[in-house]
Amino acid sequence: MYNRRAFNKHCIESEAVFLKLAKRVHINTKLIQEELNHSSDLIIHNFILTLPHRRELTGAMIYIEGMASGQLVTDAVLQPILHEMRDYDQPIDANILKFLAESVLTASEVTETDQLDDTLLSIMVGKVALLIDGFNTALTIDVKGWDYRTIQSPQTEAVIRGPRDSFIEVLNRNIMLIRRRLRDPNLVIEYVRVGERGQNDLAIAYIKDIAQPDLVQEVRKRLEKVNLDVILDSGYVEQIIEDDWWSPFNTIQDTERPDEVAAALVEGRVAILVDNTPFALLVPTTLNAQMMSPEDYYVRWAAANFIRVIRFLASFISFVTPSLYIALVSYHPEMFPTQLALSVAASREGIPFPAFVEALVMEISLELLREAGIRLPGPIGQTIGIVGGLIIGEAAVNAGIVSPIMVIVVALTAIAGFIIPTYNLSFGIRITRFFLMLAASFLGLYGLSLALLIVLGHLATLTSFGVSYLSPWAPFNWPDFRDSIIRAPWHVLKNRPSYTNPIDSTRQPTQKNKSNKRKQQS
Amino acid sequence: MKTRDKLLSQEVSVIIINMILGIGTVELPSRLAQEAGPDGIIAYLIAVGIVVFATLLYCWLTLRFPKQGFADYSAQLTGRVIGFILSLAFTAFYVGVCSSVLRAFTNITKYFLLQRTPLEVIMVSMLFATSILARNGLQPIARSCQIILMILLVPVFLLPFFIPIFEFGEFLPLFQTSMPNMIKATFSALFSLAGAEVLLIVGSHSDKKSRLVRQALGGVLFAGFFTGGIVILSFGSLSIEQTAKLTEPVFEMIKYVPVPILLLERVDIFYYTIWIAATYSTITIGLFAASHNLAETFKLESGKGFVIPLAAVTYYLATLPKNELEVQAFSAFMSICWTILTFGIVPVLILLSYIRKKGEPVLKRNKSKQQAKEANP
Amino acid sequence: MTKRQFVFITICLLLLSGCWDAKDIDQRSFVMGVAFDLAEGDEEEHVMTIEIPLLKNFASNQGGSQQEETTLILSTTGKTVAQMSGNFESRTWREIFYGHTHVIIIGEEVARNGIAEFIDYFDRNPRIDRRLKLFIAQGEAREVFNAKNPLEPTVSNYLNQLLEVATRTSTVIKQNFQDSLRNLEHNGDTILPRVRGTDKEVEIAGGAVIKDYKFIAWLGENEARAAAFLYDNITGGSITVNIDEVFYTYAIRSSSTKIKAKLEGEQLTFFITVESSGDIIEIFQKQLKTPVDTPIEKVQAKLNADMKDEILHLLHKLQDLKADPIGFSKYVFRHFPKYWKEHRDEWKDVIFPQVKFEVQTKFTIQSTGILK
Repeated sequence: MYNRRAFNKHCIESEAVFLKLAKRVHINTKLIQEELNHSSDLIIHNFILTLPHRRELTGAMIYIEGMASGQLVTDAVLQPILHEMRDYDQPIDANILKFLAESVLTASEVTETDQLDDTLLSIMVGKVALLIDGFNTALTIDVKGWDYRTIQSPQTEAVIRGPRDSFIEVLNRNIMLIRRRLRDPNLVIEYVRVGERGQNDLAIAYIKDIAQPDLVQEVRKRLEKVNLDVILDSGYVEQIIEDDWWSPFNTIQDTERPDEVAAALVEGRVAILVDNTPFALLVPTTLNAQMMSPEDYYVRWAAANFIRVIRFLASFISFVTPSLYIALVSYHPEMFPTQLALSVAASREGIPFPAFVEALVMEISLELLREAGIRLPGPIGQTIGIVGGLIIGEAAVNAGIVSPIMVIVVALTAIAGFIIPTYNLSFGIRITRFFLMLAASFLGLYGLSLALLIVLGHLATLTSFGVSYLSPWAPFNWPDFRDSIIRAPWHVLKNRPSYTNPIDSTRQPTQKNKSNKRKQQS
Repeated sequence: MKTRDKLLSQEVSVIIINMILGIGTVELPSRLAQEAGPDGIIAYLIAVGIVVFATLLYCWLTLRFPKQGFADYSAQLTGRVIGFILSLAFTAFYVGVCSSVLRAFTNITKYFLLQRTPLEVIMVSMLFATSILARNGLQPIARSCQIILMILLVPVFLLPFFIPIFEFGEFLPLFQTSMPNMIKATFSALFSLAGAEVLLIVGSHSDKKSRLVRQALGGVLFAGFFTGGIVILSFGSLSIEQTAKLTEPVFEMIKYVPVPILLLERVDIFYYTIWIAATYSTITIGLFAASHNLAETFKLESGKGFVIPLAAVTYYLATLPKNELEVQAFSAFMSICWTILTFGIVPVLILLSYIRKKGEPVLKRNKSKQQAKEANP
Repeated sequence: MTKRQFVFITICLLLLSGCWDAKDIDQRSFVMGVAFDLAEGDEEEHVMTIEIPLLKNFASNQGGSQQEETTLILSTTGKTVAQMSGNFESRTWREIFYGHTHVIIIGEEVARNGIAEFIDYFDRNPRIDRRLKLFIAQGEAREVFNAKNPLEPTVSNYLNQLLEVATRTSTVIKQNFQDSLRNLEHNGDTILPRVRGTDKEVEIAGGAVIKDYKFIAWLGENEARAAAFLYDNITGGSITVNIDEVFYTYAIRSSSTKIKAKLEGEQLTFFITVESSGDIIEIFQKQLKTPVDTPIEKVQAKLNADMKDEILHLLHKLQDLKADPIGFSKYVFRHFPKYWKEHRDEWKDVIFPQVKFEVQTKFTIQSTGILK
């Protein structure tokens, strides 16, 4: 239900005296126009119905051009009325609206209301308000129709094997994408309206007999706390409902892929879909869950494990390499193999800066390049990436500002960093990397170790809606562990991951359930 | 950090293992070799037996009062004044343990890794890192320790590489050492295996008390095995004389093992990190135990606020010893305290709990199972 | 707020302090090798020579062009190692760093006076690599660094690698610092490899017997091989036997030695069994014989006999020298502790020269190449 309280407040503030509709159409029309500040895209379509026995019925349709589909207004509202009402024999009384609603209008959703604010809100969301002279009730008819982006492949989470559709900005289309995958009557979609001025739709999705009711309740509770003007993206919601806003690591996962949402729902998690953004939120989440890409499940066992191991290794390398370089070069050169030590020393001949400054400069340049690459359009962006990397790096080496080894370290770090499947998590790593570098520059390997331990401690403190962020490693849970760094083959993964504490923990049907299989429907 | 945090039963063993494995592990082979030579292994096994017995004592006491911490039941058993003093003493014990570990650790780190950095800086950084975690409560500590444990297990992969340099003959002339030396060696081994007394503080948080004994013993035995493995490896690969003369035979051993791999001729980087992690977990648990105990003594919700002051005290104590000898004297003093606690205070408390008929019977479980069986045939 | 302020102040304090230990890698001088000699004219003083690579030529992966451009050889005199090391500190602006020292060479003259003095400094240093190699140089130790060798950029590296693959020949004992210390600390005796530097190149062959931390005698190549057998340190090399003026060369593929001890009354006997298997890789003779099978049994018998003689020869030599570098005392210590307690002080001088050795060698020839 919409945020009536806020809307009323708004109405009171703007000194709307009339909270209910009047009986005369022209008064209502004028009222609505006033309330909507004579917006130029407000369409008021007056009509006169000719009823048998020389009666006339005046009415008006009010809608916003662009939000309501003009075609639908004509086809589903005006035409049926004009057509059907020609033969309307009954006396003109309150029943007429009921007749209209039930027998005439062919549009999908029709509601009756006598409240001004309901009417206004319905007009704002794209419905058409049908006013009949002599009645102080309006019919609001759902004829929403607007333009939207077609379904394309996901921009941020590409896979090689697997479905290529991604969410778009329209909430009901997104829900459709999920419903197509989970044709289970137990899939519950609850709409929530958030945002005082935005009146944006949110949908909470969960599977009733898998997700813990406490979890769903917690989600609902937290969503009530969202108190913003407008929700432009799920990020707004995420930052208000998350557990530890100050941590660089995200405790709510976001994704553009419907298959990932469907997989999460089946695991007992809850999805929050937000209108006007393709990014859906998934709660709860763990570090392990974010390091997984849906492709891990579509690809065969050996391939999946290979990729997973590389991914974990790469994250670790990306995290630690610059600091390790600083620690070894400045504090403990005996830990390099001799040949490497001499190479490194030789390549650093004549570099004026200490290793820490060198590393910092390179890392910051890398971040700058990365951000610039995102902002620049298409082909230029890619070229800058290459240009920046090669030429600037080379130029810096030749100018004697950085050593070639540093360039390699930074390049390795960057490339390894791109392997992390979720964009959100990669921020956590990028930020903490600087902390590690700082620590390594002060106390060498000892500082690096302490910094790693501090990060570990921080991760251990994080919980996501009650679930430890470091599940399944800590607390150690053997069944879940089989799906973390290495994924066990399908016939071993019988149970759903237990961190969500699902009600029904068997993933695959047992003999019992086979008889309940529904017939195939396309 | 609430005083009634829940702890999974498996996490109990993890905490115990992390508390035990720390600074003692690294110094042990050297001390054993020096005091008892090849018989060091025997002394060590005896020490393991003693520690197992001690753990059983702790479990007994904890299970007598399954819902209360040390502060609570010591007050119950010995009256408010003595109970208060005992609690404070326990806290002081933990602070002492932390200081001694911290100082020993700092000495070694300074020597091996950061020769010119002042001791104070090393100590403050470690205390800073541990305080952050200790303030966050039991659950995060348990989870961190879980991960640290996994990290500690990584060296196991190096085992095969020890085979070429390992000499079984090193262990040979057994039973040659005199009694006093054996006792000294056992005592040294005992302190490096000390750590299970955290059970007195955290045991009451465990969610499945029935498994407490199993978990605690599991933890102690695991730590015992691990340390024993290190001792054996050190004796075999470095020879007993070398082990005796080196201060940190474990590091030399790691530097020396012929790992015929790739990038790192010297895999000791990882081992420093692992060892720093082990000490970190020991000090964190120690700080937490001390602050938690204080919180319970003063009946507060959480011990968060005590952590930093206790850390400051730890720092001060750790800076007191002036040279190597005083550091060792400090450790020896802490081992004596530990012995008094384990074999003095704990048994006395157990006896008192029976005499004054306080606390729940420990062995009632079997009876209730029987009753349940009779009720539902 | 006070909490946060405290944390903030702590962090600031940590940050404001300096980095005491930070010294970039290019601000250190890596000492690749160290050599010790006697100072001329002054028996009390020693000469320490170090080899430092000149980093400019190491930037790429090539081996460096000419010898004189790639390393710097410095010498200084002083009494103790720490003193001499300190002298070097004032001669280069980069900090002397022993983390990558691979080789310590002790000159013959100095070694006769004792090598223990030079080991302690390195033993105590936590940064040295315990796999470095100790050598005794024939002649002056610093000559070794002067040898020109185009294959490797530094002589130390070359020596190190050479000894690492000493398994290719068996005429030198492969021991690193840790091993040597292990033996030395047991009874003060060991055998160290011998190195000799000439103008053209460096050569490693044979060994040097150290007794009570002093060098007493050289071992020739065959003797060193016998010692290697006793150390059970052989993984390669070849032995040539002469049967009726025909020379058969046997390449050792694997070898293992077991030593057992038996005490009867006061007489110790050591039973040494050497088992080895290998191939015949060459028959050096005047003509290529038409298909005739190589007399494997004869060769084996001759090998057994020859090697037995060599080993016994070495053992007797050691007994004459009253040195026990192989560490037979270890066996006594482990298996006969009471006997050891009684006799440990006179082990080397009295008991060892009188022990009996029974050597059994079992050489097996696996194949004779692709010819019969």
